[in-house]
Parts: sequence; C-alpha cells; structure tokens
Amino acid sequence: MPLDMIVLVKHIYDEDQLKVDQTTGSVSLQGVPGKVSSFDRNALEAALRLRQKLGGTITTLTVGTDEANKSIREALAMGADNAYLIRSNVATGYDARQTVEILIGALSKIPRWDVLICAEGSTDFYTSLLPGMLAERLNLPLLSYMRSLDFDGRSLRGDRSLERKLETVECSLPAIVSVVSEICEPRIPTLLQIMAATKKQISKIDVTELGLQIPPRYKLEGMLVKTVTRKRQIFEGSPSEVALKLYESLSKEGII
Amino acid sequence: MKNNVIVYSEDIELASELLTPAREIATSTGGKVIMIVIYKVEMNDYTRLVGADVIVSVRLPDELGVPTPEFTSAVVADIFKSRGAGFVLLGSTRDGKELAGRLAVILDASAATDCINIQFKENRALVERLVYGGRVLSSGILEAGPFVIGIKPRSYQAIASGPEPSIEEFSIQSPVLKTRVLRSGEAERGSVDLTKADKIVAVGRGLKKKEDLELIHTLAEALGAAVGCSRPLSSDLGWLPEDAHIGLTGIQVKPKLYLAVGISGQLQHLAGIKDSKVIMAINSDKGAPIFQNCDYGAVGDLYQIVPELTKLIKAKR
Amino acid sequence: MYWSEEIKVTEINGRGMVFPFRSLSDYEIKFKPEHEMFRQVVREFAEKEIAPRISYIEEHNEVPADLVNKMLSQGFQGISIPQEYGGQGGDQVTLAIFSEEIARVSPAIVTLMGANGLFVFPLLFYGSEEQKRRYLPQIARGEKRSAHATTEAVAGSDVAGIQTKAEKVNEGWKINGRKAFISGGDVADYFVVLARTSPIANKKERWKGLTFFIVEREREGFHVARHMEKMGLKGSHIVELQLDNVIVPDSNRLGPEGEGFKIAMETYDHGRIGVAAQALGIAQVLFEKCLNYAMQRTTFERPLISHQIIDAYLADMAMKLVSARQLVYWSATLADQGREEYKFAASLAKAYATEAAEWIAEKAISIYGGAGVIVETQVERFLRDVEITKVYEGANEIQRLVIIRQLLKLSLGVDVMSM
Repeated sequence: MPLDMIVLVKHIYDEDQLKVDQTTGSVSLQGVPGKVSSFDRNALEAALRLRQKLGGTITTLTVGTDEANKSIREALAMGADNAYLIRSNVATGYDARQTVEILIGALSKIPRWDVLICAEGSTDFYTSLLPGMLAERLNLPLLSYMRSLDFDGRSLRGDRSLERKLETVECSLPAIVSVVSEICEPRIPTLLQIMAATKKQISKIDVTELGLQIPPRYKLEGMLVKTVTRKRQIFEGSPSEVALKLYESLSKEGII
Repeated sequence: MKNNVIVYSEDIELASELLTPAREIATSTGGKVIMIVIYKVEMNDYTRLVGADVIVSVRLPDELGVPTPEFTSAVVADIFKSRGAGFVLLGSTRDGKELAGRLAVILDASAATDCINIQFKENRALVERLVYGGRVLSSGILEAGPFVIGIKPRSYQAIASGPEPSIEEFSIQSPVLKTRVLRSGEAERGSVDLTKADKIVAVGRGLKKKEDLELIHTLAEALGAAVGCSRPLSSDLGWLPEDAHIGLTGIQVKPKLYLAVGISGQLQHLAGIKDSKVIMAINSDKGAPIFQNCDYGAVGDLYQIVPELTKLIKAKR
Repeated sequence: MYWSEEIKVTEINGRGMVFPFRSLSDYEIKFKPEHEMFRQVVREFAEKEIAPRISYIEEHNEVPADLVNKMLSQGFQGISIPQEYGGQGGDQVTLAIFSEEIARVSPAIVTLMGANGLFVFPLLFYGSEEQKRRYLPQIARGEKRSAHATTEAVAGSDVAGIQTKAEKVNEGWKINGRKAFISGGDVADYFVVLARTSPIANKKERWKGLTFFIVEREREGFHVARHMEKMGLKGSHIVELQLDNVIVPDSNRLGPEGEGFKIAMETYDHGRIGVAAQALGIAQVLFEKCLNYAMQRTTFERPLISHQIIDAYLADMAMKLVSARQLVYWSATLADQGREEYKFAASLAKAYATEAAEWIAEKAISIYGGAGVIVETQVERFLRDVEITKVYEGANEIQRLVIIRQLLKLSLGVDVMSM
C-alpha cells in the first residue's frame, strides 16, 4: 500500500541571526540568512519512515523566493523524491490564508497524492493556521498534532498529542496531517545523499502562473525584541559558600 | 458590521480568561458576549463565567467522546451565523489553533493565534504575539472582519465579579465527521500543573542518573516547588513525563522562582522560562548560557550545592 | 610550472609577482554547493552526537561503541573512497571540511575515522583492481576498520631505517618485525605494513628495497603487542604490533616490490591536508570559545575583551586562524584539481596550521586563566590533543624540508637533494 506524500517545507529567516537595533530593540530581517524551519524536518522524516515501510513517493512543496532552494536541497538530501518551488518575489512572504491559496493552486498541478504532511507550525511566525485552513478548503480530514502515524491500507491512524490528553485518531485517505517534533528525530544525510541532491531538479512554478488574487488579511506592523534584564549575579566558591549566597538571594527576593 | 463576540475554549478555565478581552470588544462594538460551552456531562454552575451575556450550552452527541475541532467548527460557525457575530475569541490551545484555521475558512475571517494582547479600534484588530521562538514581540493588524482570534493562555485574568449570564440550550445534529477519535486519555502527567506553579525547580543534562532525581525532589519539597525539566530528560531519556518539559515546544511557565539545576540554558529552554520573575541557576560550566539569562547563578557541582542549599532551606523552616 | 630552461637557480626576481605560481588564479579556493551542505551536516552531527559524550570519552579514553557505529552508518569512514567501491566519493575539500568540523568537537575522532585513510590511499593508488575490491567496499560500509603500519620505535621520520623484514617463501612472504605508534591498530581488521625486502645497497639509496604488504589481523603470528597511554587524542588508541613469521600470499603485496618508500611518501602527501584541517578545527573552536569567554567574563569591573592585552591575543589568534584556513582549503583545492603543486601547499598548510593551533591553544589557557586548566572547561584538552599534530603525518621539521624541496622541484626543476 504505497503512499504518495506531499511534505510542506518552509524557508525562514534564521531566528538565531536576526538583526536587532541596540537602542530601539526593533528587529530587522534585512540580510538575515535563511534556513529550513526545523519542524519541517521532523515532518519530512515522518514521511520518509512511512515510505520506508510502505513504499511510495515524497514530493516537497515550498512557497518562497529563489533563496528557498537552499532548504529544498536539504529536503532532497534527506531523501525526498521530488521538490517544487512555488516561486515568488515577495521576500517578506505571505500570510497564512494567502499561503494556503497558493499551495492549493500548486497542488492542482501535482498528479496525485494521498497524504499531505506538514509541521504543527513554522518556527518563525508559528501561526499553526495552515493545517485547519487546508482541511476546510480541500474538504479533507485532518489529523493534527500527531506524535505517531501509521497506515494500515485503509485508514491513517496515530496518536494526537494535546496539552493534557493523548487521543488516538484515524481517518481515510486522502488526508492532511500535521506533526509535532516528538514524532521522530530527523536523519542526518550522508555525503552521498548530499551530492545526489545537488544534482536533482527542483521543479518551479511561478506564483503568477496560478493567477490568484488574494489580498493579505494580516499585516505585520513591527517587531521588537523582548528584553528582560537579568541581574546576572554569579557566585563562585566552595559549594557551601555558593549555597549560602543562593539562600540569601532567595531570602532577599522574598521567596522564602 | 456584526458586533456580537463569540467565546469558546474546550478548557473552561481558559474560556473564562477570554471573557475579559471579549467584554472589552463587546463594550466598544455595543454587542453581546456569547459564550459557547460544549458539555458531555451537564454543567450546573455557570456563575464563574463572569463577563458573558449569554451562555449557549451545547450537549455533545453521544457517539462523540470529545468535542473535536472539526465538530466544534460546525457548532461555532452555526451559532456565529445565526447570532450576528463579528468576532470569535478562542483559547489558543492545540485544539484551539486547529479550530481557528478551520473557522478562518468557514467564516472567511481574518485570523491570528497565540495573541497575548488584542485591541479593537476603528474596525480593525491590533494583535500582539510572540514570534521567532518567543524572542520577538510582533504587532500586527487584522484589517477587516470577521475576526477569529486565538488568545494565549494566561494572557488575561478572568473577571472577578459581574452579572450572571443567561443560559440557552442549543442542539446540533450529529454531524458526519471525517476524523474519528478512537480513544482519549490523560497524557502521562506529573502531579502539578507547571503553568500554574509558583516555584519550579527544573533539572537538565547535568544530572547523571535517573536515581539522582531524588536530590532534586528533596530540594523542591523543601522549597514547596514543583519539578520540571529541560527537553532531554523527558523526551530523550524519559526520566520525567512530557508535561514536565519546559521550553519552546513544551510548557511556558511564569513562576515567581525558577531554579535551573544542571541546565545549560539553550535558547529553546529559555523561551519557556523568560517570564519568570526570578531565575536562579546552578551549573558546573561557567560559560553556560543560563548564566547570561539568570538573576542569580552558582558555578559548581550540583551534587554538592543542591544538598547544601536544601539543608539551609530546611533549617530556616 | 617550469620556466624556460635557461633560468638559473638564482634568477627568480621579476619573473612574476606570484612566484612560485604563475598567476593569481593559482591561489583560488573553490567550493561547490555540496561542500557547505556537508559542512552543516557534519556540524550538526558533531554537536548532537559527539559533544555530549566528550566527558565520557576523555575520562575513559574510549569512544562508545554506539557512537562509533553511528559514524560508520553515516559513511564517515568512506568519505574519500570512490563511489565505485561503495564509498561516498568525497574530494579533498570535503575531507578537510569533515576533519575540521569533527576536530572542533573531538580531534581524537578525526584520527579514529581518518587513520584508515592511510590504508585506503595506498590501496587506491597502488592496489590491483582485485585488491581494491577485496578490501575497500567493506571499509566504506563501515564493516571493517583499517590502519597503516610503517613507523617503528627506531624509525619515525626515517622511514628507510625500518627494521621489519619480509623474505620470499614458497607460500608468499614471511614478515618479521615490530611496529610502534600505530593509530587504530587495536580495532583495525586490515593493515598495510611496510617491510624491507632487499638489503640496503648503499647509503645514498637507503630508500630502495622497501615493500608494502596487506596484512589481515587474523594472520598467524600477527598480534597487538602493547597499548600506550598518551597525552591527548583520548579515545583514539595507539599500539605496538608484533609480527612473528607472519606469512601472506604474494597477492597481498601492495604495489611493486621495492617501491614501498615512494608509496609511503605519496600516502603521507595525501593525508597531510586532513591533519592540517584537524589542527584548523582546534584553532577555530578555541578562538570562538575565547571570544565568548572574553565577552562574558568581567575582571577589574569590565569585560575581559575591553583589556588591550586580551585584544592583542585575540587578534593574533585571528591572524593565525584565518591564514591557516586559507592554506588548508587552498591546498585541498589544488589537490582536487590534480595539480602536483598541492604537495608544496599541503606541507605549508600542515606545518603552519598545527603550529598556529598550538599557539592558540596555549593562549587560550592564558585567556581563561585558572579555568583554562580545569578539565570541565574543555580548553586544556585541545592543547593536549594538538601536540601530536605537529609530530605525526610528517613531523613539521620534515615538512620544512619538503616545502623547499617541492618548491625548487616544481618551480625550477631543481633537485635540492643532488646539490
């Protein structure tokens, strides 16, 4: 029972290298290097394990500028069979609803698929809106926040991880699945896989080809780094000396 | 524009927090706050739900064990349309976020999740939410309604007192659902809800063996604190349950005291503790990032410092 | 690289500002997209899988078996083995990247994985097709490990002075001798062993008459004699090997009889860049640690980095570090282009990078102060690790000879040895 899978991969600005204005605290994305959204690797790994078990194909979909090719190559190195870049010129990207419409436009150009797997959210803006939106727009079942996933030939099934509950859920194909990072550790590609990936073709669809007119519903106004200045009083010395210092600090802060 | 505000969360405590911003919006639009409660077992007491004008009480059909977001989206959409609502405020839990995505499409609404602050002005919603791993505060605008907004737990406090809401029953046909819940149970949990804990002692990779947790528990007891951990100890080693995991993908806590023992202080962990009032750390590595992000730090061997500290605290009591 | 035959040794002036090369483009460093992708992947592996195990490795002088297996599964032993033999088919730049990124976390593991390159190179360049197929695929897959046994207690730099002998017998060759300081000799399944097959004819031709043999550890009479405790590179072991009447068939002879010295020299030429990169990794990580420490530690009520002496140390570190980096990747680029000049460049890189790394390691301890010698700080271990890099794979004293010999040979066609 092979599965033809789509995996969503997003190329984001690297959260460890954001530019911050020291005086105002305002954050700029200009010239910030990009990387793949970490949880997308978990989603791809989940797909790879299903393919290992059941056979099938994995096609990644990415909406972005040409910069995104870097992340797409990583996905190919991990083992994706095919990759699409839905090319746009908008460096700042699209909001959730726009992204969904673009993805749906692109999906219509992909022959057939059984499951679309994505991360619970992207590590930049983390709206987590995509899975629910896709499910409603495509009128397909959604298994969200999955920490395990399997297919028995008829139903897709697994454990859904909520704050205090664990649900076992199932649905039939085709379906949308969003996964949590606990589902599996992403593999580290070998040199051989990396070299093969640099030779693979990335299929391109230009956003303009999709002929969509979707205005943004959310407009980002500004970003500020949250600053909390910590006292940073560091004590060194013998264990009993530092323990005493910590104890005195607890007292001073009124905690004990 | 339609001016009624719908409030819903599967977590009733969270739902009562949502009533505060709901009330503010309703006041400015001149609308009503309509809270939806979906129950399996009849609720008798709605007095806590201060701030709601109307409670629409929905009984979960027998065949459904839990109100899934798919089911709930149909309920909320139905009530939204029939009640002339323009806003939906949801608790930004995992279920809530799936629900928000669904409603954004069903109602053709502008949506935002994990909002920590919302203001409604001149027919637009100004929302603040944390992005980039919780390090950056973003402000954005949802230009036009209707609005579906997910609010991060503990961003608002429930209204203390006010007039009681009126109750209405609402019945819904058993919908045909595409996703079935076969089983629903408690996730493996510790005894305390860390998000509500006042004091937390958390432990990380500096701990060499599972048995050594004894040391940490003893200190926590002396302090009257709950016990948490960084990701490796729950997810990788399984020494503590998943809900003890504090960090970006785990729980975010806001205690008065957060004492990190043997935790290096990687960014993903810091994202879970940055709202703590006082952060204290014990680590043998002077260069550990935790020391840059704490108020008080002790460099040394936790196996020696923790017992000493425990002794001092117990002596005071 | 030859100028016209008329040039005399002394007439070098005015013949091109980039002597000993001809044009600026000879100094180019070339990277391909897969190089950066591979670097990130090795970095991730090193930080995720190796870094948490360092305390254990240092304390027990042992790399845990599960970590070794993970590395073998990642194909780390087969990086420079061509794909046709089951390897990863990486070039010299790739190997340098691998060595550098792993050395940042564990220089010992670079040697653990890299030592088998000293078996792979001679096999690749001098082995018969049958020999290559017999040994390389299993090494590439990580099923077997290998090592190189030339050095003896009496002969390190003086390869021609080895005492191990191999004599022709009916069944093939009978080898007797004792090898010392053999990296990975405790875990290797296959060895290349250098032995003297014909006596020294005269002082000038001492280097003739040596032959390499492939010896499998199961051969009767072959055993690991002694483990030696070392200063650094904990986790990578060196041993003495005893060969008592070890018999191998002639099909185990590697390369023509009597050509062993040449094969040994070429092998060391090829491994040189990896060692230079190992030292570069040490230099790089220490520089980063010192920079971080100097920003965070305060002394006399200001950060360490605001003191000029510390700035001077850090600046000198940066000079040496970046220079070493350029030399390492430049020599790797030349090697990948198949240019003979890479030997000259590789010697520059090895001598320079290892000495730069040592200097940086000493200064790192100065910058860290007392904390620098504390094991937990993870600074002192790099100084212990770096010392051997100046000595093995061609001692730096020998590198200096090679530099001038290669320079004169390649640029002027002059053999300094015959002067």
